[in-house]
Amino acid sequence: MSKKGQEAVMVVQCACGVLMRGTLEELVPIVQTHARESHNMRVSREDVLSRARPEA
Amino acid sequence: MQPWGTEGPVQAEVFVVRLRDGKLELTGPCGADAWYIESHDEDDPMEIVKRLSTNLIGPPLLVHSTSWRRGKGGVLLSFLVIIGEEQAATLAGVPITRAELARNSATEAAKGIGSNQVVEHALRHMAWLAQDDPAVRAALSPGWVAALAGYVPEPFRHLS
Repeated sequence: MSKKGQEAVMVVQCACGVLMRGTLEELVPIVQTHARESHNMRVSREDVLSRARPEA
Repeated sequence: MQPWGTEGPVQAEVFVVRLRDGKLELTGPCGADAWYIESHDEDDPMEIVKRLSTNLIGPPLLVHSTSWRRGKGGVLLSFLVIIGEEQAATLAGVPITRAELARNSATEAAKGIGSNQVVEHALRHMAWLAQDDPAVRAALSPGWVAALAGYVPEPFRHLS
């Protein structure tokens, strides 16, 4: 099994409705990019981790 | 991305409006909902709204701040971003319906303000600018001017 296959897929849903998913390492830059490019927000890695939930 | 709260002193609340088949509709990266953009100390809210709009949905025809009110953690500055009829065609649009304005007394704030009331005021303000501001008048198509004809012109104001 690959490393990625062992990692849980997590999701973060922005208040604007955009749903972002990936492993935590993938999700952090995805969320930070969305926050910056769509909302001019500076979101820390800790912010993303605190909002991430396991994919249902 | 509101869950993290307002970081800057100002948060722009953007309503993207498009004329389609003679009717005004709300659209944008957040659908018909308001699109929230942070404005930090070093930012010019107008420039940020214009830049992010251009990046995400293409160059707008017009960007204008139409009202302000207190929001969580700071000031909410409402913007109307007008885009072309065929612009951002893949983004869904929802027809704009009319609403009563959130009026207040001389000394008390209105109890609550809905997004549709903010949009109603924004379009009234645009109706005023269409008469008063040559640059706005030049940016609006005859179809837009016709669509605004039913709106009572109002200046920029504090909503709340």
